[in-house]
Amino acid sequence: MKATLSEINALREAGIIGQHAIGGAMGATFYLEPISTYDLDIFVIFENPPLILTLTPIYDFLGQRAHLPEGDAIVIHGWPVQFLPAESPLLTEAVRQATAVDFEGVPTRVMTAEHLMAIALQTGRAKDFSRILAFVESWCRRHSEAYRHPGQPRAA
Amino acid sequence: MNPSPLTAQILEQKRDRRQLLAQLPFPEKVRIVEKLRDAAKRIAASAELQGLRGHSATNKLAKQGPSPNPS
Repeated sequence: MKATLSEINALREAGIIGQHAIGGAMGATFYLEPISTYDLDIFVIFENPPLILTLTPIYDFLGQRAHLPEGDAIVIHGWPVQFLPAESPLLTEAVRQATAVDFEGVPTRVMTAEHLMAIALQTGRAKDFSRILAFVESWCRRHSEAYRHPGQPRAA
Repeated sequence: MNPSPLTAQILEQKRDRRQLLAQLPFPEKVRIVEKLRDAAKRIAASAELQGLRGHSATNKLAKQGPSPNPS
């Protein structure tokens, strides 16, 4: 994953993409228990998008570095990565306000929990609602622990 | 209807385990996800070998094989 994130940063340094952030299941994993997922979703802002937006420059750049496409993702150091344009106001805000994270020395950015929940609500699949419940449960538990008096039995 | 004391205890233990996992460092969580993904691929490959065909997701995972470069 460290090498994968380094390559994604190289895309930014080369000017191929603008700001980007980890979203989806891996973004949720940052806040919750590990979630089984097949790929890494990277939401991308294109600073000066062409009339017809295409991911070809990303694929060309990574292809020159021996990363090959597989289905709708491109495999970078063992991780299938899906590059998703941040086309809606919510996604754009989520990328711009993402949290800076250090992953074993490699800087990266992860969407905030609030944005991940809002995007999940907008996407609306069963697993998205399940993820929202996991966030809510995590938040409720943190707050109930914070306010639990010593000796008070734990809530069921 | 309230759960039985045993069920409540089990649910509490599950929540505690989820909380512990949630508190792991991000790189450690990623390694767990990689193991989960590799396990899913092995299960899919095994299912295909045993002739459990016809499920597109299973076939897709089985074709991928284990991750070559775990972090």
